[in-house]
Amino acid sequence: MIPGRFQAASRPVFLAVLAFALASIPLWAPRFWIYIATQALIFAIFTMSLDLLVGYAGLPSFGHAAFYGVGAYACALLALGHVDGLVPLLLAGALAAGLAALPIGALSLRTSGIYFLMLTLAFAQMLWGLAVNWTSLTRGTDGLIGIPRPTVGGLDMFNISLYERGPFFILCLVVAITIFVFLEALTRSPFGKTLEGIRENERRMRALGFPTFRYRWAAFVIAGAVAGIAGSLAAMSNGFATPDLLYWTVSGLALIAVVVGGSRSLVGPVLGAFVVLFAQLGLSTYIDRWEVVLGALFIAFVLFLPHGLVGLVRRT
Amino acid sequence: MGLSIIFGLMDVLNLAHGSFYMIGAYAAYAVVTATHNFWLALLVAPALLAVLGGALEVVFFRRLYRHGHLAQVLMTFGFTLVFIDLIRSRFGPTTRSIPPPPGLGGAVHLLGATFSSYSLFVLGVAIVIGALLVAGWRLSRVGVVLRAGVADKEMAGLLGIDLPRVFTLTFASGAALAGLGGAIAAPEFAIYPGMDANVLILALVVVVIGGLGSIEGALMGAAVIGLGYVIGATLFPQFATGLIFALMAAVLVVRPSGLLGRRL
Amino acid sequence: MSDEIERYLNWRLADRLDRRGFLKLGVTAAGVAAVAACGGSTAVGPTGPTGPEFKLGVVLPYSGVYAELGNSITNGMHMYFDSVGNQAGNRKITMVTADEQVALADAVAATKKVVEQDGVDMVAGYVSSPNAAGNRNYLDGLKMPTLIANAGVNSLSRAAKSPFIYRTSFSNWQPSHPMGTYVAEKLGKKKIQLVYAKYGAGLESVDSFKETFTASGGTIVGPDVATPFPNNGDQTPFVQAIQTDKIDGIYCFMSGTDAVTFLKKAAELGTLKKLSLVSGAGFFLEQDVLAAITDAAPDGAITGLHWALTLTNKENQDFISKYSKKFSGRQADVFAVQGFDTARVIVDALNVVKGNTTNKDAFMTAIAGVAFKSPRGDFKFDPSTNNVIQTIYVRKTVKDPKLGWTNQVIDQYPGVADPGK
Repeated sequence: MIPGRFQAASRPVFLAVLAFALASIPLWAPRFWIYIATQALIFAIFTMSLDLLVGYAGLPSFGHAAFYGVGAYACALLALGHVDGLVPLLLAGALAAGLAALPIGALSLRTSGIYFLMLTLAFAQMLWGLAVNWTSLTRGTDGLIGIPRPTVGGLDMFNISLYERGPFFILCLVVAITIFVFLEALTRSPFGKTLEGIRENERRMRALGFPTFRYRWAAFVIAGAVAGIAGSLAAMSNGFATPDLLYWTVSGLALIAVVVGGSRSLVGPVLGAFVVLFAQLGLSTYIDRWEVVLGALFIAFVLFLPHGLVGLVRRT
Repeated sequence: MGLSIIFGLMDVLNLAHGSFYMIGAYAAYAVVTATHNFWLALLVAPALLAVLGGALEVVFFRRLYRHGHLAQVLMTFGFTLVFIDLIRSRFGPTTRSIPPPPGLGGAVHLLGATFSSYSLFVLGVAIVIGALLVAGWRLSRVGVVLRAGVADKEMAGLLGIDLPRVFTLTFASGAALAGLGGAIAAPEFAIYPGMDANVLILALVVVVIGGLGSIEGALMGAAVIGLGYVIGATLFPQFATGLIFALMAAVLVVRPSGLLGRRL
Repeated sequence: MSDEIERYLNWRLADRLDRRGFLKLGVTAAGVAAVAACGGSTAVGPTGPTGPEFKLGVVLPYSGVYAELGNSITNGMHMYFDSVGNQAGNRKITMVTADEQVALADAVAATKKVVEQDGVDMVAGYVSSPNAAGNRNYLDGLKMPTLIANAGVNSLSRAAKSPFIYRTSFSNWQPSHPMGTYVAEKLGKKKIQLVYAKYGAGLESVDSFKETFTASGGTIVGPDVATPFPNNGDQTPFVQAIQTDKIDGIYCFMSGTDAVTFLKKAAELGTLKKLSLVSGAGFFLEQDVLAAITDAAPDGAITGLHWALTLTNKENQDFISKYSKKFSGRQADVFAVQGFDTARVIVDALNVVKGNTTNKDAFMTAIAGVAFKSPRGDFKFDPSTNNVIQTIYVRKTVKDPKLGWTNQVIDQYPGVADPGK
């Protein structure tokens, strides 16, 4: 059923429409909503990386915020240390998060299912504790603030600044699309197919001679690195890196976005990220009892859309 | 402990379990403020939660069993949001607290160390309930049925066991235990909206350390975490923040299915 | 007949008296009352403001662990604005609230929402220090007049101060600074162990205490007891880390839930009784904590703060009685005072510039010049730090026959100003 007939035919069209719709946001949306859309886009990169784990590799991580946070701190520390340049900062976030994912993945992958979920949570919470306590590096609960955005060679000529909201949104969109294409290719590659095979029946894949542990480990590290890129963008966007970024609630919100959107689709988590962030930030800034409404929304989602937003399309 | 029953036995990841605990604590607060009788609160809180838990199972969670953990996470997280907001609108955001019942407010000196007598009381209650649970689990008919249900849902169904009813009862008793836990903890800790998340994470850690689907494991996990935290925080206070997670990570790395868990 | 209508309206209003509804309705209710009072005989009420509406963006936590503080500050603001008919400088004042929550990302979104979507003329609020500091550059860059109504992080009066951001509450340095001198010299307690929640406010508070305490010949007995923040676990190991036999007492910074669980455990284990002095920054034993722990409160504990429920000045007595009348019996707290004073600064400054806020520098000058007698005593701004200069009261925790557990003022240090560096 995946990809379904409907999906196979219309997916590229849908994606193109989505990309153009997103790209047009700076033209018509009010400033505040461009900001929210930027946050949602960054969050979408993060949830896509989580989908690689949850959906494709069948590894429900409840500690993915660890890599988001590590990426943000790496970017923040370098930018505050006068490292300029978009690509180096993004890569630094990816590298730091990927490095953190190496040992965490190696240890977490000894377990599976709920135990994996809890073990990833444990590592993320330990890193959170580190961010709170290593005050000489992270400035503790106060966090690192006043992080400058990088300059991009060439943009100055056109008098465009990344400090403006529109251009920064477009930058995030470009990064998001690049990552989407990369993950899409990855999941369709033999590597991706092998991962899915391992998810469905690990014993059999092992019997066939696949080093299943290494496949999963690689997926874990890649997902971590991509989350690190999202973290770097978040640090640039907001100008801060605080321990909150690593807290389990962020991991939880990302998991929720994946479920709301529909896992194992990459598009679903993007939609989910937008729905969840718009719901949360939108509701909390406009409605009084927003938690009840948001909670009811999630409950309704499970009751009526158990396969997420993409489930709507897939069932057709 | 209640979580272990729901989570381990029914394979439902219930994030609202912390909310049950919180509601139990607030129920105890309401009863104690109204009647000044703590012992009454210990009866009211679990009864209330049993009804609430049973109702939620019948109306909502029953539809969830086939959708896997992620959908359960989403829905039960939705309930935590609803419950915390309802509690806040009913009781306000203020931190509240109730005093220990008369006679248990002091300290006891044992073996050269000082313990608060209420803490010892809690420990005693926990041991009694733990023993009852283990006994019930091992010996009673309900225990047999449940164990059968855990081991193989379909087979148990074929043997003519009314699984839906058993699951509703199980869920209700899990919720009741959480409510009792909240009520017992109320004099020991502070009562505030947000206590649910703290205890939830702690409970998940305990259950996972012990191993899913094993009451003895949950008891052992609780002991490991409780002692480990106190010893660790005494020796290395600067690492107290991540301590319980470090403990859990250590256990899971060495024994990937928890101390007494089934091999997955 | 009009009686009936009025009663019906009041009933409807009271029925739906939730927080934000309350803010909006405050104005409407006044209007309804005014119209009703006129008995419909003439359509023209008292002359209302004719200038453009003055929108105040209020960013405070209404959910999460700090919700109680957000509510109190909002109530305090509301109370002062109501007392002047919700207008100043010929402009009607409207409060637009947004939920600060806990994490910085949410506080940033809330700030941007009131500024960009609602187009507010001014921003006030911020309970948590990281949230105030994290929004600083944005507000400063927009030259948005801002009043910090709680967050105490020292840097906002020092390296990160902005000509557009003033603070009506306190800097973390302030309440603890006179306490070092007081404990060492007036109480003669020379051996103190520090106990604090390990986050910005805790660290800055005990540092400030240490500064004056050691300068007055006191010795800090180590190691410090630094509890995780927030502390979700058992407090027993931290209570037992207090070296009762080696020290005269403790100086403590914790607040809210942390303070409640710590004090209860310390009382149960008998630790508090073994100390000849329990001292701390006032938040450790403020009314919210005392109300929760009741008889576990350390009798005779000494804390420093810029306010006390028991202050006998007329402004304070007025404030606490009106506050409790207005908010159905709620007891006033220090946060409500901060909200009340924040609103007063806004009203006074608007009156000085006659409602003209387009010249932001002039408006900020007017804010800087506001001085008055607050419930907490003399209130004025320090031109070198943009922080409030205020009296720090030394208070003793007692059980009052009328008020229950509270803090009695036993000494005071007037004119305490952050050093600005």
